[in-house]
Amino acid sequence: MREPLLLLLETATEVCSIGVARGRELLGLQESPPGQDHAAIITLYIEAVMEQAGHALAELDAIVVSDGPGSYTSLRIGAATAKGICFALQKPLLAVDTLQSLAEACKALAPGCRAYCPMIDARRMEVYTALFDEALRRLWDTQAMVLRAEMFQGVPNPVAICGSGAAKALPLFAQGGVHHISLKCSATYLIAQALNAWHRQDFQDIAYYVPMYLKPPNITIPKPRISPA
Amino acid sequence: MSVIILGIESSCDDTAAAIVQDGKVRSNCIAGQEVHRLYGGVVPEAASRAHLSHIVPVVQQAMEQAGVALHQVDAIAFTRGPGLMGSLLVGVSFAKSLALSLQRPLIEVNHLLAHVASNFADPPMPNFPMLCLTVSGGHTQIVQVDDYLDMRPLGQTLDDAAGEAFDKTGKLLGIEYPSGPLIDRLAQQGQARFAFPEPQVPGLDFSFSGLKTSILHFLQKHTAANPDFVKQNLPDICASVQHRIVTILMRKLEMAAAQTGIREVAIAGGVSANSELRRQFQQAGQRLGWKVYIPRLEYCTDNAAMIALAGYFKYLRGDFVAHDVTPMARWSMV
Repeated sequence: MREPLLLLLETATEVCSIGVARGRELLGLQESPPGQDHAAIITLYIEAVMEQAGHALAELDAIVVSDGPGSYTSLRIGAATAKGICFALQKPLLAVDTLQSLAEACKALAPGCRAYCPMIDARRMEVYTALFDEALRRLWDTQAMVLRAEMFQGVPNPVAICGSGAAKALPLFAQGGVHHISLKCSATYLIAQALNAWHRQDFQDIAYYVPMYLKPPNITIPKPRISPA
Repeated sequence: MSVIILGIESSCDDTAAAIVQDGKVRSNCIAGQEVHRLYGGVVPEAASRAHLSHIVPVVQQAMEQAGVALHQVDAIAFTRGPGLMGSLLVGVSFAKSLALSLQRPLIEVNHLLAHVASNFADPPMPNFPMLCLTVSGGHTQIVQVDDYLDMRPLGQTLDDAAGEAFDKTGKLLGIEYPSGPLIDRLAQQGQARFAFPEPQVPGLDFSFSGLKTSILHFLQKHTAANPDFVKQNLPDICASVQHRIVTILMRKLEMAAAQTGIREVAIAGGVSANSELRRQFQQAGQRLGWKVYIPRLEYCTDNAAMIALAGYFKYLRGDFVAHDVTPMARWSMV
């Protein structure tokens, strides 16, 4: 059977990374420098990668999004864009765990570590993170966590940390045993999981798919300004 | 040759899609968001999340109701702004990827221009030049309309919108959001016997923030003397507040008509559903010899038919945008 042609949308962080792959083979890739407006470039990047790959959108087998966690707004830009293509061209939607994709890429770069901890910046001293062992089995669930020096207590080292939240975490781990692997989210890293999901036929509902937000909207309810009658 | 426009609106808390064929509305679908009722106002992050879940079903419904298939659509029109950035982004991103996938042109539409365009949905069509008072939860302005797409604001609110004044009053009175319709209903059982000051704003601009504060002080003063004041006087308070908001609006609209000499006058936006505004507007029309226009209720509140209508006029002009277009939270129509 021919390997699927996949459009890959990675918008969980400030990098907008769009790729197209036939099976494991990357046929086209466009990545923004950090801080570019995803909404301004995403469809232009999609057009560009399809041209690099020499395929029309109608030839795609599925659209793949990075599921999060990450920036709510940029995840939604990716999800809304994916839904438009899926709806217009009747294509299935696949969603890939962003942190796991980073952990896999991190292990490829630092194969000897005992644990892998991808981190996505969630502002201030908070990150979205999960912990994986040397076989990339999940040790911690995906969660929002405030960074602290003792967070890796009891975790076998060396631990590799990576992702947009890792640089700010590094000063906490001066005692060693923690390696920083410089790695940004990329559409390339979605391929392996996307193929698994494709072969499992683990498709998302195009109408009701939502990214992994992890938290409810932050809402403060104002106090009444006059005493209730 | 027939022209079919798909319109998409996501500027605030309603996800909407509509089909307009040759200037006629073929479908007009809206998914509202109940979640904001709990919080007494629109929560931007909650609105953005709901848009992402509503957009596909709403567009699908609009296509089905119109009996139109996606490949028959000639262009995609979307609200670029003004509105909530997170909400706009969902509609804009979806519209762009639809346009890319279908290889159709994209048309950006200003939400305020579209409110005015809702007057072109049904006959009788206004003649140009026309004045339009657009009043909603987010906007209050008087616009001179010289053609379908050629319009300029003559005056607008310097702070709160008129609909916001209703909602904030509702909050003070413990009336559930959105408060406008309930205040209107209660007001019909009351007398406008409490006087609230009229803001002194030069020209054709509006201000509602001072009114809001004076309502707050009025209620604080009276509930201090009588804790049951609101409960005992709710219809009269509603009638008084509504009367004041509407007279502020009408005074400026009459001033605009006098200054420009224009006698074709329309209202648009969610607050144009208000019965007191409709009554005073019709009366002023009779008294001053205006031809008055009020869109159907479904075109007054936020909707996508008005986006598709404005998109249709832009399509005829070949007024398309490139794919690097991004939403604008603030966007004046000129």
